[in-house]
Amino acid sequence: MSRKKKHWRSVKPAPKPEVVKRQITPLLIVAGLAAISIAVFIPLGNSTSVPATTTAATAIEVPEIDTTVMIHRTAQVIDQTRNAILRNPQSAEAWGRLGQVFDAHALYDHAAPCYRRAMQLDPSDVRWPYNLGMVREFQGADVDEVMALFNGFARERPDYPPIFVRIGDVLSRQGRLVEARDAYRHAAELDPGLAVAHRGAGQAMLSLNELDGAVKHLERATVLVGSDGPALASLSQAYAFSGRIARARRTARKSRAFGTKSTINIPDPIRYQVASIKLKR
Amino acid sequence: MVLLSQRKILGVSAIIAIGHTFGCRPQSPDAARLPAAASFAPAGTAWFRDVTSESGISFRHRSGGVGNFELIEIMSGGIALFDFDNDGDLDLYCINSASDLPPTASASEARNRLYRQEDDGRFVDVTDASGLGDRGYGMGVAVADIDNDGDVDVYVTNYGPDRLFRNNGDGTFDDITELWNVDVPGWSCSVSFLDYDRDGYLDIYVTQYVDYVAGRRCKDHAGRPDYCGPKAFPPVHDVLLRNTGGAATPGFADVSRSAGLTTVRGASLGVVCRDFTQDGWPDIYVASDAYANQLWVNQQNGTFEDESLFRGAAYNLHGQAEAGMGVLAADINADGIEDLFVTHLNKESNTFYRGRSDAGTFVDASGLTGLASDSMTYTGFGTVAFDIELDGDLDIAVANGRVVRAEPKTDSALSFPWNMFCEPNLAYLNDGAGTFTTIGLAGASFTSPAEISRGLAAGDFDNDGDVDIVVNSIEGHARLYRNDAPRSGSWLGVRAWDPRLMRDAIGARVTVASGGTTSTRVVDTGSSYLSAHDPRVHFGLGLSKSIESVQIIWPDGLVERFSGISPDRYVTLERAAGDPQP
Repeated sequence: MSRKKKHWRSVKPAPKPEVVKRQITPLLIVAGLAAISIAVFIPLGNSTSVPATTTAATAIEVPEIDTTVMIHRTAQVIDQTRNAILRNPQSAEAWGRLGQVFDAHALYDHAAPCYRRAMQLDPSDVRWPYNLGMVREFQGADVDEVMALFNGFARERPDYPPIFVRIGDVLSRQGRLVEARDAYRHAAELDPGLAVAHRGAGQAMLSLNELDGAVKHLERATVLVGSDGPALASLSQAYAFSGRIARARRTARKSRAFGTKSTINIPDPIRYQVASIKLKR
Repeated sequence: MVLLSQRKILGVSAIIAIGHTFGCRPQSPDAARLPAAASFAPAGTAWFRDVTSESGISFRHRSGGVGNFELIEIMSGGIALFDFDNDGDLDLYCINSASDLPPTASASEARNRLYRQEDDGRFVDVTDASGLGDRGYGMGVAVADIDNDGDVDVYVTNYGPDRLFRNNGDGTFDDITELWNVDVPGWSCSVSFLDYDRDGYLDIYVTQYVDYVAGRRCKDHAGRPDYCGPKAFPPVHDVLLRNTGGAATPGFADVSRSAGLTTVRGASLGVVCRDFTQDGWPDIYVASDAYANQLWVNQQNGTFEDESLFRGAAYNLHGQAEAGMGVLAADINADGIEDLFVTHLNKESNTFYRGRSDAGTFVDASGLTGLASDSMTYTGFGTVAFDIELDGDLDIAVANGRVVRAEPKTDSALSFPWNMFCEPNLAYLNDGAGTFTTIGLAGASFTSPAEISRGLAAGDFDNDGDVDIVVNSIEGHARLYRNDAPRSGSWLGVRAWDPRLMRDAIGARVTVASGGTTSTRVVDTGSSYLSAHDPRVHFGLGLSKSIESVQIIWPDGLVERFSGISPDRYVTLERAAGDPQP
């Protein structure tokens, strides 16, 4: 196994879960409030759009997109955020903000270069490589590229459980199930109340045919969030593979009643900041 | 303003440097992928040759779309390869939709087309003479012999009433929709034939998409006009038609409710029928768009139960319902157990459900096979598994084309708005151990044209021993690709024929033992997306020069062994002509 593949393991020893939880909970609250205030109060610049052709040297580098067919608010946010860059092309925050705006509207081809630029201008801000990793994965980028971004973040923020869930997601999609399982379990150790980490660990273990562990984690996930159809479906699968067919059928019925949409949210302030851009539209 | 405490990142500069260019123009992910994959097969060797024009095929699909983003216009495009005139070569049937949308009462110029293959390999349009030029808003097609008279009949799905055409055996078809009591309105998509009650007559499973209402307008994440997703419309249940062929008045009866199908509603698109539970009774697997896929397990009493959730075939590894489009069932990893492969929307990978040893259960093994990551940026529809280069394992082809708008592709032959939805197709080579690599430039004629591909069917149209493919594309031309891949071995084609029923033994399980290995295929004509294919099963044999035996498990449970069969040919094996096995 290459060293690169194990980067996430090389993080600092995790603090005790209770301590982490105390650290995380206020952080989440502050982050949520901050995200909302960002969306509401950040001055987005002059409402008069600067034509891309008027500042040629900079405008060439700023991703352009035809906003004429978008709804007004979206077009306005994009134009205003672009203009902020044109006014201050060396601002990492401005570039990152434009990346977030594109990212929030699923314009990933446009978001990625903005995040890259923000990373270049301010390598200390961990939001940009994290968001870029998410975007690059949506774009179908090479796993090594995505993992390098996520591992870099994990080195800097080993106390941030969502990153290990993201890493688990990437690895499991690559079929690197043992590493994925360990990443999810690490997230669950950091925050034992993190249902998505238990669900991921259970699903990875289900694929690894580690059925006892799968049942344990999936039951934990469904205790934490009892209405998550996908977790219940995986649990019913784990029961069935363990030969507990009657219980599998009952759990499957319960899963079906809750539907296909996951009700487990991942408390991830960095991604919430992106999502809030669209939520405020 | 900065959300998290900003730590100095010593390693970030190095991370940034990995594979990044700091240009700020959006880069197409497609562009970066092809050269890397191209190393798999030598450049300059065209493994698939587009022989559409020289074969005389001139079909052009029309959706009727005029930029109003009506969902039905982006979902059509079935295609069938089948031998309608029983002359031993495959003919071609292409599904069309409409030249106007909504479809007008006046006869649309866009109608389905039947091409008969002549002895010289050219295809001739015989639509008018055949009676198969249906002008409904066409979606898909299925082919099988519904009346056990020795020729293949045609079922056409439409947005609007489906049509059933009986083959008269003289090159013509009669529309027997009403005569045979086929009453399937709504939005039908893929169809599969199966004999679910084992009475010898083929029944019909029809997937139904959604309760569509024209005129609904949706927008993408950026607020631009776009196609609605399935959840913008009420879900519906599928339809099961029981063939009452043994009765005094043959026909079909809608048994959806009594069979239990109405208990589940979704947005079904692809379907494939197999005896997944290996109990001798055919089951049904349905790919559903944004809903849980369905695995209808035959209860052997005329009813089915959807056991997909606990059998592991409903959701992907992460427990997510994906946008199931096309589907195939085959023993992809050659372990003797049928697997499932389902194509999906971009941002979702295509999913490989590996069949587990306890019959009828599956686990998502997409990542392990290499079939996941390359598909993340594409929207897959039709899919087929066949041995491209005859090396003894099953390879996979996928027809792609978006349903969610993207930036227009300026290098596409399609004009706006269609150039926002075009994508290249995918072809994967199996390394023999169930790991796949995209075929690269060698397959470029198939994988390079950016179109909105939908229906995909496989069959050896030139009977030269390797399997060719046909694709139908929205607002594009149907394309026939001849397989010219360098051959890595010999082959065998088997037609499993039941003389009592005078038809192909749909559902028969054919296993070839050769060179110390065994390979299994199941006889069917329907899977992929909206498409139908050659009922002959095809085996690449690799370097093996001889065949130890061919075993067939017939749909009624009879097991026979056939010996003395040489490779590199097509053989027809008849039921009760082999050596019975215990």
